Amino acid sequence: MNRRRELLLHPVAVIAIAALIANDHWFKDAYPGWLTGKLSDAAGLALFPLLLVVLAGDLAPRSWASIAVATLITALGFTLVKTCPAATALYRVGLGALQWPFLALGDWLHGSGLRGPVAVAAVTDPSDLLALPFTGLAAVVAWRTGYVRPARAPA
Amino acid sequence: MREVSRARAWAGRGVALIAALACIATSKPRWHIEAAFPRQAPTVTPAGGRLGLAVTVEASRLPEVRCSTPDHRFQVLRPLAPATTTAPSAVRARYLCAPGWQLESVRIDEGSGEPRSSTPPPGEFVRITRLEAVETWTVSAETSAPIRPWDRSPEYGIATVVATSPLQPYFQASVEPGPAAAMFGVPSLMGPSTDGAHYEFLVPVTAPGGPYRGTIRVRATIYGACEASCNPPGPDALTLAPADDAG
Repeated sequence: MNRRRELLLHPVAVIAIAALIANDHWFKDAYPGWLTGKLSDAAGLALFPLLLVVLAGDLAPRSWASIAVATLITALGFTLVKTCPAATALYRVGLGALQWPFLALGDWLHGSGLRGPVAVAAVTDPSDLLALPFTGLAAVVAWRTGYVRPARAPA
Repeated sequence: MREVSRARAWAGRGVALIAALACIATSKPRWHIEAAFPRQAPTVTPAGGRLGLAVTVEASRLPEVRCSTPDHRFQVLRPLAPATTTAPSAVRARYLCAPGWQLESVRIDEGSGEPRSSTPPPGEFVRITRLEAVETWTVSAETSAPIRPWDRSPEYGIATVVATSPLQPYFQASVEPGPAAAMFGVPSLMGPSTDGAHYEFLVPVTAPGGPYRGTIRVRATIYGACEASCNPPGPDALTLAPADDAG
């Protein structure tokens, strides 16, 4: 069984994905406030290290080191975006560029004029670093799914 | 066993794709631009008179124009006529705040509901090019509809009325027997339908005392701006029917 793929099928990962989608597309609009502002950060921080390991494929050997590196990259990137205005600006433009093909497809389907990339909404806000501990869930998921140890002792 | 393993492998790929898309779709662009009102232009006209407020707007996308009514309800206006394209990425549209209504805002936006707003992208704009008091005509119609139980709860009722009109009607409602027996909410627009001519309004009714049987009486009014001359359309311009009779 491919243990790497199992990472994203763990309930913690599935809940993080569902929370991220529901919060970004419904809850933030329906209940704007502190909680919904932090929920996507928490869900994204729990999910992103696992996604990095899965996307890295064979580049990431099945070890604690892979999980640690993915967690570190996630935490470092998030800290930079939330504390350094230049990193925030880069994130806004970069993510806007990644979203652009989907915006363009939507424009094309609606028959409206093609727009250029639009920078996403993000602010430099160190208080969002409160969500950083959620990166630790990646290690819990890796352990629970047997990604970093045999799930069952050999007979 | 192999089937289960294959299914989990596909589920894993699917979830990875969804997770990647969820990460890309986060932090959607959220911005808005509100048009400034021209200095010394009127933003309200006297209630009960014939003067309304015509608002001509140019924007990079169809704006949201809001007026408040004398009974403190907000109306999101629809253009008096289909918006015209004035440039590859600009539209012009004309709206009418009915007599007594106050112009509240003219804005364009993307995303909503979040206090954090990002900078609007280049090329997005909205401006009021003309704001003036104009003579108006009105056409009204009345109908009544029975209140039906709603949402499997006897305390809630609903009446649905369909309006057929080329213009967006303004609805007022009253409940019979009177408000001592039931409270009724603001009629809410559920349409228009795809042909743009049918507007379906839901009127929620709350009867704290239990099942409520009554009638909702609805009065709808359409307004228009007098152009060269003031010839209001005939009564056929607005017809109302309870939803069950609308066919």
